[in-house]
Amino acid sequence: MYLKELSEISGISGQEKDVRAYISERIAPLADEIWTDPLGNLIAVKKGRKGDKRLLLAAHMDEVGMMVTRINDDGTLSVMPVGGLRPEVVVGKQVMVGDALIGVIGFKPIHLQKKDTEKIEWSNLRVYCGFANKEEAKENVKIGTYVSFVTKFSENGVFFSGKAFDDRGGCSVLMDVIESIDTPPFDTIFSFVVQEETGLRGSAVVAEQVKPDVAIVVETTTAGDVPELEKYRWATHLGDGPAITFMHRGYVVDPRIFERLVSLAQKAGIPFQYKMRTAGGTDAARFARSLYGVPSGVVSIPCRYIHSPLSVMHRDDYRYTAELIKHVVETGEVIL
Amino acid sequence: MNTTELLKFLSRLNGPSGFESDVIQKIKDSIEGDADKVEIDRMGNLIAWKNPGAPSRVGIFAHADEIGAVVSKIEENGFVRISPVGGVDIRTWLAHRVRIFTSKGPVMGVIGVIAPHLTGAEVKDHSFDNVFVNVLERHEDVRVGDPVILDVEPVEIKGKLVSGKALDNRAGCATSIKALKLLKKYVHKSAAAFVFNTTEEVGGPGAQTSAYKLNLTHAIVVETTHADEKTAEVSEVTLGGGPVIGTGPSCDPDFTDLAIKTAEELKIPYQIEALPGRSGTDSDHIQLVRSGVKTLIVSIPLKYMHTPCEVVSVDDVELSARLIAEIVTRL
Repeated sequence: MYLKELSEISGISGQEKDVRAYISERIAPLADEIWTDPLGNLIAVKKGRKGDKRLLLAAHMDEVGMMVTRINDDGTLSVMPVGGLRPEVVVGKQVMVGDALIGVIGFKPIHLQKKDTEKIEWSNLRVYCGFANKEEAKENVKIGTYVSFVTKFSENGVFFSGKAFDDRGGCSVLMDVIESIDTPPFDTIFSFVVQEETGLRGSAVVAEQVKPDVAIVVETTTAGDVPELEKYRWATHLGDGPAITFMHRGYVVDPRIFERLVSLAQKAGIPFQYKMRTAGGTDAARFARSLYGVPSGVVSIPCRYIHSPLSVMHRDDYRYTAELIKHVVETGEVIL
Repeated sequence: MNTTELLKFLSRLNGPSGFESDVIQKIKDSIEGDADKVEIDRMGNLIAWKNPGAPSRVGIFAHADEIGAVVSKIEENGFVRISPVGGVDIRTWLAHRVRIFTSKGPVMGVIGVIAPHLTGAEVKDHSFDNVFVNVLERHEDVRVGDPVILDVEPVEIKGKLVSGKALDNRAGCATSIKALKLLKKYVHKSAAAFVFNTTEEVGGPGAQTSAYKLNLTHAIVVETTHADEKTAEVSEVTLGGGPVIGTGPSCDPDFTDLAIKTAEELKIPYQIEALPGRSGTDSDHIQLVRSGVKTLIVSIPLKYMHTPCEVVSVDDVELSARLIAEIVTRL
């Protein structure tokens, strides 16, 4: 499992290079072919026993974060989100501006707040890096610099906590699988894609390059099993294994693939759950629109508090997801 | 320990008001050998004496407690609810780790924020009424009343600033510790009691009761104050601009003049903060102890007070420590 290391790397949509370098270095010796395409997707091929069909696996390398939009007169920086990030979760955080500059996102002290006027909105938040004025800030920071979270990974009891589990969890699963399989029945393509969080962009060019018959997206999906959500709104929950999706935004999962994923899990005795809501989208929607259409399925690790600097995953859910994906590759049964 | 390391060391300590014993003990250890006499009184305050027995008696007060929370309700499945200790804007705690100090040791928790996929466009105003802590381990050990503290690792910014939790008032504690160490090299005729007191953040009895016990002629309150805020409610104080000397009804005018003259004589840059009513520091209480105490407030400029990313300047701490030591020698 590479989740700790992967989660601590910064890789906001559009700047995934450090994540890609980390993965590439470790899986290159295991792949028959590996390349980085013009958009930055990392694609590794493991040849199968039969050359006639191809299975594509995909996980996205990018994470949500922020980008500098303005340098203000007082030397602070204004930022806007990259991907689906709410301003509430960035307040009071240390952040990394670019590669090496530490900043903090402070907030009006409670002593000086006026009732209802100190709203948490992007336009009210500033990154402070210790610059005295605009000139000093401009010497050190450029407009468009990425601003990322710096949360360290932690394992406590049965839980992992950290940033960017969506979708470094999927990346780690794919790395585990390529490491642990022998020659699969079909050619299997492990793709680590860019820019999922900004509109499923990297995945748009993957199918063209590898012509898959079926694609399985390995994601990290939202779990809602917390005291502030009624049970019917949970979508997924922790501790009962990977979530198998039947439909999400922009795509009804090919029922044949959905059924085969379910029966594979059942036959192998791997615990799983159904994703109970259809909100959110994955690269499966993109693969289904690629070429003449690539039938696609989605398997996800349930995770609480995604799209924040600190999410929580159950170690068993990770393990069972990796087992199921390995089983998918080794049996080749999702190939239609 | 240099000043940066001292600030980070003190920021990492955990001690919300009423639960300061670990902080007090660690500060006691760090001033080992610097004072002539050290004691912890029955309200939990640490008192370190220099030159005890002299007739003129000055207390140098820095509160050692910090804002925090306590567990107020146990929910199912390893979740708990919390209530504030002192002035906490819970919106600044979201998506942070916390430590819950149970009777069987600390456990890690997360203040979780539900992903936008599940809340949709409905944006909830977060408050202590709806925020929850996701306890990650040994949740069966957690009891109502257990203290809760943010888990924040302090960082250096630009090599001259430190950011972290609890710098209000661990920056004051660092200043006091440095002043005490400086005084070892100075001759002074008054008795100086360095007090690291409890319970300031809840307006508690820490400073007031030790002031009574010490029977002081003078008191210097070492605090933190808002820096770089642009509002008429607070004076113009700049981070990195040097010690802030308070002026107003909770400060003795002559003692304040002595502080200003000392700073000018030594060419220590200083800033003046107008405190038109109550100062909001322990000075409000210390001043009224016994037949009255002549008080002085020296504050460290601090940005983003009561958030997980308070910021102070190392230079401000060092200059304030020197100023305080020099003032003590002039009493």
